Amino acid sequence: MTSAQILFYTFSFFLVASSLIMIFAKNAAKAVLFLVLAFFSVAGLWILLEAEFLAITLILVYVGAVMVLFLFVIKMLNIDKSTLRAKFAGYLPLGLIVAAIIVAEMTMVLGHEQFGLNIYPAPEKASADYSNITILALQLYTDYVYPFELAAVLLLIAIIAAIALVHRPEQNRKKQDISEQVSVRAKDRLRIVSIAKNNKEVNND
Amino acid sequence: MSNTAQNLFQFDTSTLVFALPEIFLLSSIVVILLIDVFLKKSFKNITYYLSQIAIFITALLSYSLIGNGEQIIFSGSFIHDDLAAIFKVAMMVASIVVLVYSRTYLNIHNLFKGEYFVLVLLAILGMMVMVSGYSLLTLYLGLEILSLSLYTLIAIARSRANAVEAGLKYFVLGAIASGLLLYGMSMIYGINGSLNISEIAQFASGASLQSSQQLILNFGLVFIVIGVAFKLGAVPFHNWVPDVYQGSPTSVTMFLSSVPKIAAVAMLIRLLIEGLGSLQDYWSDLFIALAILSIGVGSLVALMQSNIKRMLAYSTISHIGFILLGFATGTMTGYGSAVFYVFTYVLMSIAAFGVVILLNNKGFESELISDFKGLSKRSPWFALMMLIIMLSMAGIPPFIGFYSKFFILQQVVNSGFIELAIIAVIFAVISAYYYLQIIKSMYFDESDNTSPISSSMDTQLVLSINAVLILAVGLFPNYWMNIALSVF
Amino acid sequence: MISLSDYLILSSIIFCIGLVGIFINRKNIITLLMCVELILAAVNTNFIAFSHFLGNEAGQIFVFFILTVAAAEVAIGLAILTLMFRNRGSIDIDITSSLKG
Repeated sequence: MTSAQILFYTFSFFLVASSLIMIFAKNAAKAVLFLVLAFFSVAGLWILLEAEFLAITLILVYVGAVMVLFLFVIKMLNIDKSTLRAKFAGYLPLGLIVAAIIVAEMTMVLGHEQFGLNIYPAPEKASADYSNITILALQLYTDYVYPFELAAVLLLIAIIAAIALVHRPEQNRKKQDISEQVSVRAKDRLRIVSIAKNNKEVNND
Repeated sequence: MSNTAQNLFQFDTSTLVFALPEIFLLSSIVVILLIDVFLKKSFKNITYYLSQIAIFITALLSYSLIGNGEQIIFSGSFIHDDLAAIFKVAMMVASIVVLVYSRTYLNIHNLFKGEYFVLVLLAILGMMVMVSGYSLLTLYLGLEILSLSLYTLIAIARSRANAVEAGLKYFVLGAIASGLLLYGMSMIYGINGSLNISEIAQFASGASLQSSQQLILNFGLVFIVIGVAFKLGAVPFHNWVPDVYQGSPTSVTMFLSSVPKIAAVAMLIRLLIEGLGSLQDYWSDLFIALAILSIGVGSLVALMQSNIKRMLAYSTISHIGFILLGFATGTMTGYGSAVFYVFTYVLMSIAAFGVVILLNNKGFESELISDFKGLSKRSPWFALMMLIIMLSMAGIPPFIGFYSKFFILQQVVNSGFIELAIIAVIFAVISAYYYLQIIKSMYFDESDNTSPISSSMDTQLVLSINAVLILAVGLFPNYWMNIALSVF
Repeated sequence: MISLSDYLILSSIIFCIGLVGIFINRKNIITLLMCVELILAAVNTNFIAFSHFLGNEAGQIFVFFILTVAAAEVAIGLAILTLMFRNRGSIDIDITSSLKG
C-alpha cells in the first residue's frame, strides 16, 4: 500500500466510525464531538484531493465556528441529555437493511466501471509552487463574482434573521449610559448633610 | 487554465444592464434596512411604502428588459430572456398585492416590523436569482436565499409556538431537500465537468454519450427531481406543506403559497427542460407519478380538513399536481399550459388568502372553515369575491381556473395519456366538493357573528380587482395562454 | 492508487449514514441538524473528488459556497431552535407528525 492509500483508508475508517457513533449517540454534546472528528477526517481526505484551502476552511469555519455554535446552543438550552429517543428501535434493523441496500446500489452506480482509474486516471501531482488559494481566488473574483455577491446576501440574511428572531428588546437591562455618566454632577449623587455634634448613631460599617 | 484566466477574463460592464432589476433591488434592500433602523416605531409605515416602491420599480425595470432576446452574462451564470423577465414581472406584481393584503394583518398582530419587509424583499431577490439562474450554483444560491428568508419570516412571530414550530419543521425538511438536490447536482457536475446549464444541455444531448454516462445522469436526475418536488410540495414529499401553511402567520402563508411557486417552476424549467431536456423521457415518468399522487392526495385529504389554511394547503398540493402533469407531457404547448397554470394558481391563491386574511383582521386568528358561515350577510361583496375564487379553483367555467385545467388536460390527451386525464378529471370533480362547501357555508349557514367586515380601502380595491381578473382573464384565456407560450 | 470511485463510494456511505440518522433521530432536532451537516459533507466530498479528477476548479468553488450557505443556515436554524425552546421549554417535536398546536 502506498502512503496515500494508508491515509485514505485511515481517514475513511475514522469518518465512517465517527458518523455512525454520532447518529446513535444519546447525548447531543457527544454527537457534536464525534461530528467534529468526522469533519477532521473529511478535511484530511480533502487534502489528499489537493483542496487545501477548503480543508482548512472546513476546520476553521466549520469546526471552529459552526460546531462550537452547536455546542453553545446545546449547553445554553441544557438539552444534551436527549429525553426523546424515537420509539422505533423496532424499525431500526429494517432501516439499516434498507440503507445497506441503498449503499449497495449506489456502489454499483458509482463503481469502478463508471469511475475507475482506467476511465478517470489519477491527475498528476501538483507542482511545489502550486497554490490552491490563488487559483480559487482568481476564479472567485472573476468568473464567479455574481455568486460571490449572492453569498454576501446570504450572510446578510443570516445576520438579519438572527437579530430579528432572538434579540430581545431591553427589559430591565442594566447597562451603562456613558453620556449620562459623564454629565453627572456632584450634586446629583452627593448630599452634604450637617451632622449634629453629639450624634451617636454612627455607623461603623 | 488558472494562469490564463487572468488574461482571458474580460468583463463588459454594459452587460450589467440585464441584471439591473436585481442590482436595484439589492441596493434598495440595503437602503431600506438602514433607513428602518433610524425610524421611530410610529413611522414604520415608511418602510412599508419604500418596500412597495422598490418592488414596483424593480417590476418596471424587468418589464423594460422584455424583448432583448437571450443574454447570458457573468460567465454564464446569469441568463436574461423573456421567460426571466415575464416571470419577474409576475412575481413583483404578486408580491405587491400580497403586501397590500398583509398590511392590516401585520399591524394588528404586532408583526409590522422593518425586518419583515426587508426579509420579503430578500426572498423576492432570491426568487429573481432563481428565475435568472443559468448555472447549478446560482440556482442553488437563489433557492437558499429564498428559503432562508422564508424560514425567518415564518418564525418572526416569535411568541407564537405554532409559528415557530412550523418554521423549524420547514427549516429541517428544507435543509434535507437541499442536501438531496445538491447530491444530484454533484453527480451532474461530475459527469460533464461544468456547472453551466448550457454546457450540461450540450453534454446531455450529445451523440457520443456512453451508456455509463447516461446512467450517472439519470442517477443525478432522480435526486434533483426529489429535491425540486420537495420544494414544490408534491406528494410524497408534501409532509411539510399543511403544517407550514397552518402554523405560519397568515400573511406569510399567503406569500409562500403563491410567489415562490413561480420561482420553483422557473427553476424546474431551467434545470430539467433547458438543462436536462434530453432526459425528458426519464423525468416525465417520475413527474407523472408525482402528479397523480399529488392530485389524488391533495383532493382527498382536503375533504377532511376543518381548518381553512390546511384545506388550502392540500388544494395547493393538488394544483401542483396539475402543473407537474403539464410538464410531464413534454411538449412545448404542455410546458406553456403549465406556466399558464402556475400564473392562474397564484392569482387565485392570493385572492383566497386575501379573503381569509380579511376575516383575521379582527385581532384573532380565524382559521376554521366554519368562520365563513354567514359571510354573505356580514359582507355580501366579499362573499361574492370568495364565490368567484372558489368556483374558479374548483375549475368551473367561465372562470380562469377552468381554462388552466382545460389546457393542461388537452395537452395530456394530445400526448396520449388519456387515462391520466380521466383520473385527473375525477379528482378535480371530487375536489370541487370542498370548494363548494365553503360557498354553501357562506350563503346558506347562519352565524352568530353578524358584525360586518371592515377593511381598508386599498385592500378592498385590490381584492376586487384580483377577483374580477379571475373572471376577466377567463374571458380571454387564449391571449394569456399565448403570453405563457411565448416564454419558451 | 485511489480511484475516483473510491471517493464517491465513501461519500455515498456517509450520505446514507446521514439519511439513516435523520430517520432514527426524527424527534431530536439537534442531532437531525447534525445529520444534515453530514449529508452536506458527503456532497462536498463528491464535488471535490470530481473537481480533482476532472482537473477543473468549479467543483471546489461550489463547495466554497455550500460551506457559506450551511454556516448561514445553521445560524438561522439554531436561532429558530432557541425560540422554540423559549416558547415551549423544550425542543421536542417530531418533524414527521402534524402540528401539535
